[in-house]
Amino acid sequence: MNRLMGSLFLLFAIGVMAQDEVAQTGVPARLEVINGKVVKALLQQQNGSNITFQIFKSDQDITVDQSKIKSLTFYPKYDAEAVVTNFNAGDYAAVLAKLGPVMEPYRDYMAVSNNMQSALCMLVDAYRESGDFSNVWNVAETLISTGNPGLVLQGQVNLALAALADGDFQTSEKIHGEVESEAAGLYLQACMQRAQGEPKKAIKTITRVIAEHGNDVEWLAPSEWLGAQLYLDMAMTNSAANTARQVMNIYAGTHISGDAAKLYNQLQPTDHD
Amino acid sequence: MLTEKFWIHAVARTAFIIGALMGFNPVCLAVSDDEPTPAVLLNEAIQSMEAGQFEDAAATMYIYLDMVGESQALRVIAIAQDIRFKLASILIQTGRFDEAAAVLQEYIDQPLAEHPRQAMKLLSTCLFEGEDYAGCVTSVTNAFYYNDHPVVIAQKVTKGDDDDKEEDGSKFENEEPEPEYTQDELILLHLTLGESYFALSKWTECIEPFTFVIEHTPSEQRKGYAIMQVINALIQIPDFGRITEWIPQLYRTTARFDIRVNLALMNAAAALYDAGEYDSALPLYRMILPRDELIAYQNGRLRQLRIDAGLPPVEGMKMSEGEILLFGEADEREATEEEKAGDTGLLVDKPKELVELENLIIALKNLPPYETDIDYRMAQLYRAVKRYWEALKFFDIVYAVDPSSEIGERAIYELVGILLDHVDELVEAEQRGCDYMSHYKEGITPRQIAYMLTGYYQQHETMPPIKTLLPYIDGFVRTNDATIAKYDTELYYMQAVADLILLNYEAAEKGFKRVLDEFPGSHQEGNALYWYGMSKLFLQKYAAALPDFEQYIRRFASGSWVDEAGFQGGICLFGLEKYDEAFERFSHVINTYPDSSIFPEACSMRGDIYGSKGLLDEAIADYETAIANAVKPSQATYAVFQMAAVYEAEDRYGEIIRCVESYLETWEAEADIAKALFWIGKTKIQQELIDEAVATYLGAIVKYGTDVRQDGVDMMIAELVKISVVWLDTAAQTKLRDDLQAALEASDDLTLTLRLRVAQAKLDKTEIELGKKLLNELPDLEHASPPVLAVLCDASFEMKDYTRAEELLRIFIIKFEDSDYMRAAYKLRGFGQYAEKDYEGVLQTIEEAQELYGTDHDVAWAQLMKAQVLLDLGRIDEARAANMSILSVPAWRGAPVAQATYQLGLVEEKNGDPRKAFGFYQRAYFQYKGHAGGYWAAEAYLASARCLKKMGLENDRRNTYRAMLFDPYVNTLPQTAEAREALGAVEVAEIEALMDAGAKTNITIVVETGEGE
Repeated sequence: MNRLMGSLFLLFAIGVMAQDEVAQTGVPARLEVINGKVVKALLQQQNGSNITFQIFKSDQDITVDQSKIKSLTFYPKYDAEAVVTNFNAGDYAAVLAKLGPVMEPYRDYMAVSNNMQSALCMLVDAYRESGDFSNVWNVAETLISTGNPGLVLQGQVNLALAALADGDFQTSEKIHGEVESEAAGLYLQACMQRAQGEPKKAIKTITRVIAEHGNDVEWLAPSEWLGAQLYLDMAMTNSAANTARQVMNIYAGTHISGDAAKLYNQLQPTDHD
Repeated sequence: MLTEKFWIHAVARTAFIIGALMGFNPVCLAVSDDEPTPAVLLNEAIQSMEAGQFEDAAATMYIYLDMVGESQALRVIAIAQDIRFKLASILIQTGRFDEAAAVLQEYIDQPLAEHPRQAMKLLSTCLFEGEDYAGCVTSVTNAFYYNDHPVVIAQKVTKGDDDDKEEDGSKFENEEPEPEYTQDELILLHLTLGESYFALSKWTECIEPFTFVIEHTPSEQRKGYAIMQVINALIQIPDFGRITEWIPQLYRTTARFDIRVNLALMNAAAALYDAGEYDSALPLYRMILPRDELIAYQNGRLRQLRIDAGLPPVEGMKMSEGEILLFGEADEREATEEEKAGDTGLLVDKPKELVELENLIIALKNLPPYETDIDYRMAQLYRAVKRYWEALKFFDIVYAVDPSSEIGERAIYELVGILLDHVDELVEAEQRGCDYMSHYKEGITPRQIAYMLTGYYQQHETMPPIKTLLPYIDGFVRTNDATIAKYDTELYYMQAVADLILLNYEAAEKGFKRVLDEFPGSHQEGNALYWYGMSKLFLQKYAAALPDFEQYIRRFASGSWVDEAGFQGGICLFGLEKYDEAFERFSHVINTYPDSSIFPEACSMRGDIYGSKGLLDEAIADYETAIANAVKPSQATYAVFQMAAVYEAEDRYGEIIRCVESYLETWEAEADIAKALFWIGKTKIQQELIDEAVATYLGAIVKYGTDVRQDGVDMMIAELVKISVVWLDTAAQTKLRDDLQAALEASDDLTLTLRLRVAQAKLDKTEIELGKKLLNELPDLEHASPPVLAVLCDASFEMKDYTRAEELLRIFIIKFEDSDYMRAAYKLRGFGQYAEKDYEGVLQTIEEAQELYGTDHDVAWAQLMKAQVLLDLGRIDEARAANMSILSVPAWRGAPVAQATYQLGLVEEKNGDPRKAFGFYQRAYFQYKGHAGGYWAAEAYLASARCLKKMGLENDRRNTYRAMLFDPYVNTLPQTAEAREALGAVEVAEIEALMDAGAKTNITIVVETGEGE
């Protein structure tokens, strides 16, 4: 009897625990507060500068100013390594397919430092490379809203490039004026000049990035890649091929290298030539 | 678990060692009374060591080891090994690496070493520091092996004299083993091994240990350095493919700020560049940091190292209390001179890493600035891979740093070259080049830039801009430097060539003379001499050109122009009418240079001379040879049509057709088709196939009339007009006009349109009107062919407007030298010069015109004007002779003779002989009143009246006026106004009434003139 009662009690207890777990919803995250304290949390919502969350196994909402949160660690269920590989191989469709849906729950929390921020940057690049500019606008605005200087810059550049793709020079010019990084600003300027059919002006601008920001890898790589495309615009095929080859080699392992490789191979004479 | 027995032995051994160190003499050694015992020595050594007297300690330890070296006692061996280890440490500390290595090696080789791993590590360091890299490799390799396979040698020690019992070494087996190398020690050993292999040039072998360092070291500096060494090794192997894999890794480390890495980067990048591995070299060049940036970074690091070492952040700086609290008590006192290194002035007694960094910073500061060199290499690299815009940017950066430096000069030269040859930015190239040349006038670079621009213009056949360079070239500072002089020669030579191509023959003549005068003996002397002669030849200065060609042949007998010079000499002789000498010269060229490109021309010229002598068969033979050997269409063209003219003279029209058709077949599109059709048409006329001839001409005019230089078309226009007048009836003439109008309406080409309008005007005899219209219509004369220009000349002449006379004649001479239409331009020019009283000029023009056209009917004006000019110049006899010569030329009968007769009267009048003059005037109005509309007769009447007045024959004078008014050839001309005025209105009315009544005058004035005496 006692054994039976004990078993029933255990079953009840398990049932209660199961009921508690099912009841709690939100975005699971490891939350580190600025004082170093770490909690397992389920993020409920982001509203203005506040984030509301529940501590694991507690249904009480806690709302704090997001500036009090040092970082968030999310637990997305996707093969991050495979996505990076796809991205660097220039397989943007695969990136969007794998990363797009996964990213959705986390986008509201990008103002806080977290482990999905670099993935979001990858996502916006993938949208841009795929020509899906409406989503570029969408993600870029999220990046800008984070206030993180690096992410803001990524957002601004992508936003400006999306505007350019729409032929909206006014907007791209406005964003260009707001960009704080000189190298990024020059890169954007070159993109605008190219869009306005002035490849010589554009490549002159690109040479400024190379000469004046030769160690700014973040903007040097896209600038050099743009240089290769500009040479092609000017019908300087050999120069375009050589630039593409150098971009391919120097930035090996990056998506820009992958894109450059495609152009380089395309410009190689075939057996029929 | 340690055994009890071991503990007993261990404690005993420790006690023994401590005892020894404390000065006890536990071992009964055989020592003499005078010498200190080993125990004493041991004690002294320890005391010296503790007192920091390392030299003394080391010396004592050596004596001790020497004294106990032969001992077989286990305890003595153990003590000796311990002393060896201590001795090695002291020796390392005092920089005596070779000695330390020997001691350590003995320590390792002997039994009972407690720290074999450490000893091997220290030995490796000693050997490396002593630059015994091979030994170091062995030592490190042994260390690794030992680390993985440690052995504790249980050695049976032979009982010696000093030992009272046998000891079993195995009792030490269970001692606490020496710990394996730590990760840091392994990294250090691998780095040492890699460096040793590297020093031994064992490039492949060094990669593995460096790779271990790269993979395991937590220090980014060390990792970067190891990567750099791997790259250097791969360059040496060489294995450039693998380098590319390493560069991104290096980029991600802070080793980029390492001075040694930067220096190595420069070498590696240069090696890769030289090997053509541009893709690998480029990122390396980019990684090289500017010197100032590097110094700033390293100073920051130095500051940190000093703080870590408990020193003030900056040497000599007084620390505040806060800083002392923060960084610790400063123990850096004022250094004495002895404590400072002589060469650097830095403190010697500092952590090694700190001293190394200080020395590196000093080396870096002493290094000449290298940034510009790096930028220049990058620019070269970009150019090599055809990234021209990047190359431009970097060359520009280099140039901006110091335009007058050697590297700055090279940069501007490269920059202009790329702008010209690769990115098609001519305007910027000109602007940059000219800007440079206007500021920097010395040395070779401005000359190279001028040369490059000149070459570009030549290549693109745009000669006028070449002349814009002359002011810059004139501004260059001359030197005796051979290379610079060569450039100057070349530049001035090319200036003259440009003048020649631009048909500025006078300027070309001066230019080539300049080269000859200012650069005697230059590499261009031969060429300049030849073209100097050619410039004169183009100006028809035959006498002046001949000596130049002769000189060329004499001085440059094997020169490239010697055959041409021979031929051109012949042309000069021909121009000087020395036909026999010219014949000889052409024959010489024909016989001497049968393979020369000038050979066909020589044959044609000799053919012309044969023709002029009436030796038509010989002429035809030479023309045939010329045609057969022609290498250029022009050579065949000339010979073919000269030959056609010979055949025409002999009425051999079939031959004309044969040779012209053969010519067309041979040269096809390159042939002068218009001229060929002209000859074919001409032949058809002779065969009375008029309609065919007209159709041929009209078709050819429309087809080829768009080319302003097709003089065959112009010949056809003249021929077409002639056919119309001579052969066509009214209906056919109307049809021809209609066809021309249709062609005109269908044409949108200005050159053809102008030609067709001229053809129409000629048919309608309205050339003057057309000429007047065209003078207003045409903004320039670029599209005007010779007949159009001739119409303009005629209209100008009609209007006595000589303002464009010089321009028109110049266009003919430059563009249409052989055109028959040029005679109109000579006439206009001659009259223009006469109007300006440019007597010298007009005589020159007359001479040229007469050389070209001789006594052709329409060139009588030249001789008449010549006589008039001579009279104006007071050269009476010459003027008289000039006028007299006209009277005997059959082609000039008519108006020219009337004018000449009148002018003879002027000559005599000016000579003060009115009577004689009256005789010529009277002949003029008696014999030639029907010519020139009575103009000269009227003039002669008035001149007669003037002479009669001079002679006081007033009645005769009035009779002359009366005769003039009765003369129906002249009495309506304007000149009669003078007669009417002299006679008065009443008498004039009477004369007119008589004339109306049909009366004729019988007035005759008889004066004894004496003419013809």
